[in-house]
Amino acid sequence: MSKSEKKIVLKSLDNEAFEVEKAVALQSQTIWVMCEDKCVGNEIPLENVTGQILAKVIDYCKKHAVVDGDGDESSEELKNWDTEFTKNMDQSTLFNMILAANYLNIKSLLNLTCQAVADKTKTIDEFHTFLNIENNFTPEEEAQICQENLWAFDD
Amino acid sequence: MDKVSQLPDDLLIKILSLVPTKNVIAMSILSKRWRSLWTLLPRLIFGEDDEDEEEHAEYNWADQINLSQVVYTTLLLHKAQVLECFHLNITTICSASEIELWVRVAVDRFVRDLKIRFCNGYGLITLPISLYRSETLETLELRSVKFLEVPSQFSFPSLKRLRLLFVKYADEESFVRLISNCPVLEDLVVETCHNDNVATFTVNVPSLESLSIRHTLPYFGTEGDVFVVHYHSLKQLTINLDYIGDIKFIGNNMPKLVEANLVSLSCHAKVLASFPNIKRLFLCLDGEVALYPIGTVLFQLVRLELCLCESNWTNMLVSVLQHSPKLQVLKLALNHFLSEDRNVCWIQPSCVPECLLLHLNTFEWRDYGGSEEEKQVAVYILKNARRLVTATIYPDSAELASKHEMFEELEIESRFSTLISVSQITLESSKHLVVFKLQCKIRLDFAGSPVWFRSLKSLHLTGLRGTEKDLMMIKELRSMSMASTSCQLFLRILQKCCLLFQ
Repeated sequence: MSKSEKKIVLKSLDNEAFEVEKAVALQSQTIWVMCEDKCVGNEIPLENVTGQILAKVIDYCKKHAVVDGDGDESSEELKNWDTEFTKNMDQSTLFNMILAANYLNIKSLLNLTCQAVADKTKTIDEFHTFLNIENNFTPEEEAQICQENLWAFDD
Repeated sequence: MDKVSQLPDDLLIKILSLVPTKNVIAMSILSKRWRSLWTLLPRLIFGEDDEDEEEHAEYNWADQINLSQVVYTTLLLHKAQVLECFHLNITTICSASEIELWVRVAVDRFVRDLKIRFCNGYGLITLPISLYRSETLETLELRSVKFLEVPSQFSFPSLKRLRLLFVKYADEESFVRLISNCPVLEDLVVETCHNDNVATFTVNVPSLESLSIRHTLPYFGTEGDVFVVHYHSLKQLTINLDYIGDIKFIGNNMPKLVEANLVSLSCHAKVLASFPNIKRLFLCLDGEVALYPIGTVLFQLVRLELCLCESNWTNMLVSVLQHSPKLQVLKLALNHFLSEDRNVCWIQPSCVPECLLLHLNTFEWRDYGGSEEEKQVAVYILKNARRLVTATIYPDSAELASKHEMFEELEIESRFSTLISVSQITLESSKHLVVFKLQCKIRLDFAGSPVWFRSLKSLHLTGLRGTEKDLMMIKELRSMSMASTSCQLFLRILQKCCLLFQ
């Protein structure tokens, strides 16, 4: 497969088209398999990803396609870039990124976004607020769980 | 419905496995689905994993209640078939039989990453014999652990990373036997300690790619230690400052070694002669051992980091520059505490090293103290490095007094137009300069020398005070950068100055 020259078009759920180099797009195992199977033409429809999220995913892939990892200088820079990349994402964007990374099967992006959620939810309260989880326990049940796992609750 | 509940279990588990175990279990209170979710987590981490937190370890949550009970309860409720990661950071007293039992459970659940660490440094235990049955183990870290026995017959067929920190061995043979029975071991870290019952650490593992040697307490108790290292396929070697024992290398040279960090009194610079293909080098060597081996050329070296704590660092710098024709990155920094006054002297090389003329593109100097010698070195490199793309100089912020002196000096010099000529020479000769960073309060006078901005793309100035003169200088820089093709000016300075660019 000749690289770099070849371009590929990714089409989002809301019909936004992105032209990217093949080497960039192939970081997605899902796209890679699609290309290998030749089941798609030059345009790949991605039914689960919106344009807004896809643009971010492509940013990530572009950054990670350029650096070929020779020497620690570049990996250090890449790490900083990754941190900045997820730093200011809101909750909804992060979850959509996780879903997109999972669907597109980009392992490093999935790790990065999961780590970002984990980092933002260091304490129980943060977790509750950030994840906005609905509590469906009765007060009695809740008290029992607290009692069972007492050790985990003493901050 | 909340967003997170839309995630499938496997993604939730992935996220949760990155959250401290204690928090995950506390999350069982969140909803019915969450209540059982944690029991499927592939990672169980007890105590604080982060070594930086070690000092606070005694206030750790596990300390306040009975750790044994926590671990027992968790293991009892835990349902995951495979336990990828099991870390025990123990801050309280646990009996050897308890740890034996937990490790057995972990081994039975195909543990891949196991860590047993006693945080307060006193908890020596006996390593459970059940550990040696593990066929899945890939990473093993032991800290403050006592081996009573390493079986004569065993093998860790999958173990790739082994960290033996502050470990006491039954005898010398135990250490050798332990590492020799790891056929695919790639990464080994050994932190020797006082009374560890081993005088000669023989490292003869053909698969080993990375070896790091250090000692628990600096300058105490390693005098008698000897490391006998067989080269084989070693790619990375680190010898830390606190290890002062002896090191012997077996084999003619290390053809595969690409990275070496030699920060030790026990490592003689002559070992450089046996690193023909080294690419990255970090050096901090003192005294007689620091004499560069005559006739050694480091043909592959692209990156050199040199510590400034030794008085003869300039000699080493010149020697390496002259003998590494492909050097691209040079970093100077003060990484260690200075115990005495240094007597640094700078003797300019008789001819400009090839790497400066043809390859050096990145120059970084941390803890720049601004002494006469240091200035000469900086000027020499900036002046002669024709391919320089990034130059970054961070003044030594710890010593405010000398900092002021440095700035005084530079100001005075600029008045006598020395500094101008310095910046003209340095920057004019660096026609390829694209990024230039100055992190200090020096005042540069650029009158009549706009030439050096020709290819500059990015200029970073920090620490300016926003005085009238600073503003003048920034204005000047601004107009000069306009003349160049696409210069971006990055200024992290007082707001007053930023106003200029709005």
